[in-house]
Amino acid sequence: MNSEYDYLFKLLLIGDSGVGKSCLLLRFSDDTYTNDYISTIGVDFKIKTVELDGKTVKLQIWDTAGQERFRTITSSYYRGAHGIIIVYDVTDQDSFNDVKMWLQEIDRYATAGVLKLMVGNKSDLQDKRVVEYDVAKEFADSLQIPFLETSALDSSNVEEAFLTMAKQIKDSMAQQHKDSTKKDDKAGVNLKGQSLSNSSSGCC
Amino acid sequence: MAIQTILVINKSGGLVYQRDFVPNAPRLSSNEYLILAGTLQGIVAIASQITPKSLQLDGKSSARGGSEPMGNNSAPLVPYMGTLGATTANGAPLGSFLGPDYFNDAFASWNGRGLKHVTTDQNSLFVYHTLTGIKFVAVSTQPTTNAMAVAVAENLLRKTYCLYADYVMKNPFYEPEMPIKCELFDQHLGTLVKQL
Amino acid sequence: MKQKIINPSTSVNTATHPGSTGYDYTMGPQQTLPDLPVSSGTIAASGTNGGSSTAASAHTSLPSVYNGSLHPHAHNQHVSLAAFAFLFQELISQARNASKSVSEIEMRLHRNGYHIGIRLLELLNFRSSVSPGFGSTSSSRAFFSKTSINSSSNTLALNNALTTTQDEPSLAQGISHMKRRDLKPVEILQFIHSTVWTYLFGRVSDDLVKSSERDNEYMLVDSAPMLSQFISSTNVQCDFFVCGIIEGILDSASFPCNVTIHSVPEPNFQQRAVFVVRFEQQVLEREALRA
Repeated sequence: MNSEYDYLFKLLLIGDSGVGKSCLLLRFSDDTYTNDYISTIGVDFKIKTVELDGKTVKLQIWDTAGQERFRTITSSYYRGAHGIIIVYDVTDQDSFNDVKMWLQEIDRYATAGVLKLMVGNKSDLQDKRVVEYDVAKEFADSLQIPFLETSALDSSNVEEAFLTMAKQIKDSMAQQHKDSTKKDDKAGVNLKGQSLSNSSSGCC
Repeated sequence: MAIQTILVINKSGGLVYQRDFVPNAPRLSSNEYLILAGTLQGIVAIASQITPKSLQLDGKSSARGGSEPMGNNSAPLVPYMGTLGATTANGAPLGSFLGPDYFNDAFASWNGRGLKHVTTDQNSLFVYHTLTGIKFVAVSTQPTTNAMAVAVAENLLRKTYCLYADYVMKNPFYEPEMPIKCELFDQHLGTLVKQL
Repeated sequence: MKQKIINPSTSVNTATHPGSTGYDYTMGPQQTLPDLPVSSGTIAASGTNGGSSTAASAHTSLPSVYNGSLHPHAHNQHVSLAAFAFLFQELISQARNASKSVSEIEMRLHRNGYHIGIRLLELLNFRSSVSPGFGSTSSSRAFFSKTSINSSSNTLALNNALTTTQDEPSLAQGISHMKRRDLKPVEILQFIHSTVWTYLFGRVSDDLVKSSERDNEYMLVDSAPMLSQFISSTNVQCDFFVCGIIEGILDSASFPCNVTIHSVPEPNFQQRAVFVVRFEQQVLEREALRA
């Protein structure tokens, strides 16, 4: 009848404008929605449906494009996010420096203990690279944030990163579903009988 | 006016419940409903930002409860709607709430701030925004600007909130913030809407 | 006005309980929380009479849940359904997290209920023995109700009842009216059907049925199970908890048996449940020998 999905995870994509957040998502999401009619209120949505342990999971990715104009409502986008992906451009030193600022945003608005992922985009432009892999990796390790580099040409490890994140979120859900197997309830049970109670409400 | 759709949107803007009550109405796909919910989340946030401070203060005073004297500043009262959705067909009460109806009297609106009601050429959309940030949304089949209809919708959504508190929050197999799959909630909500 | 500070839970304040003999098993522990002013009259009295009498009058006029009597009619004893629903929810979650299969969850719930059943049998039999049957007279109610004692010395109810005149029932009379032990399966089942169900759920169960197919099977019917009323039907039968309570009662009353639950929805009662009690063969053999 309603909701053909079992879980809904909210992932948030942040980073300076122009680092290629939207491009990155386009590579990742299959049933994608890229119409820019939503960007007028500061956010774009991508939805990816994945199967995890036999459960249908929808990853709703909130792409906070152009959100400088909407700073005042930023907190409502961070709220309840299960995972946050911080994107920078390997050819743009400023975007890497701003990662610190974005991490502060996360601390301020997001739930404590939210899963984080740092992504360096446009790694195919080797000749223009200014942020070295080792520098970024060391930075990410010091903060214990998973890190990877990607490009529009090679999205495979992005997909992997997203799925790993989804799996982590799902595993952190308190309850495991062990009750999926239906028992045969009434096998061999005969419920016919004669009432012994003298209460007026007897209905057998 | 009939109810076409009821949506429940969680604190973080995720659509956790969606149900159509009109069989042949045009349907959106589940992804489109998710987009709608996320967009609404943004709009509600913006609406509460641009609501004039004086109105917001009103909303807050009503949220604190009925102990304040009724003056010019008191929150708008939502009228009591008779036996709207009071009982199920066999007379059993809906949920754990005692009495003939959940709310025997007109009640102070807790839905004080931000977006409440959107009217388009074809539909009206009513929002009940709880103190905790959950949004209950009803879409009607016809546009209306009638104050009575808004009150009816608010009453309905508040009862939906009651059912949510009973049959979703008290269900050990429900994971908070995740899509609602509770048969009893479905059943009782169906009864509630049918009696409208 | 003067307020009593919280007493340490072990000390008995002799000013407020003169002649107190300490813990009385029919009363439960004595109140050690600060007394709350109950009415403007009490507050006015405190101004004139001073601290200790205020405390005494507050004691007599405000029974709190902490000094509730074990007697069922002493005052209305209610548990918030919502509070219980959340507690039950957590019980199920714990069973769920610790289990690998549906039957294991149900087994855990069953075991939880079983231990309650063992204890419940003692409590309810104790109550039945001091006041035969329900709807007892007001004087026998006073026997165990601290609040109805109109004595300013605030002596404990039992002491009071022992020393009063003929119109109060004596303990000896109470013993002669004691309930006898249930010996037949039907008797103990009716005890569950009425007394236990009323204690647990505030009403008798909807039906008690003897199986027409098997001699050792009886069925208790509940059209709207109280505990699982908010829980949408899943593969897990949460009412196995109640099965455990029933089985615990029957086992410790020496009617070894096996209790299971089966949901049998009816149009008006979607959650109707049937508890099937299957006695072991030895119960039937014993019954045959008795007859």
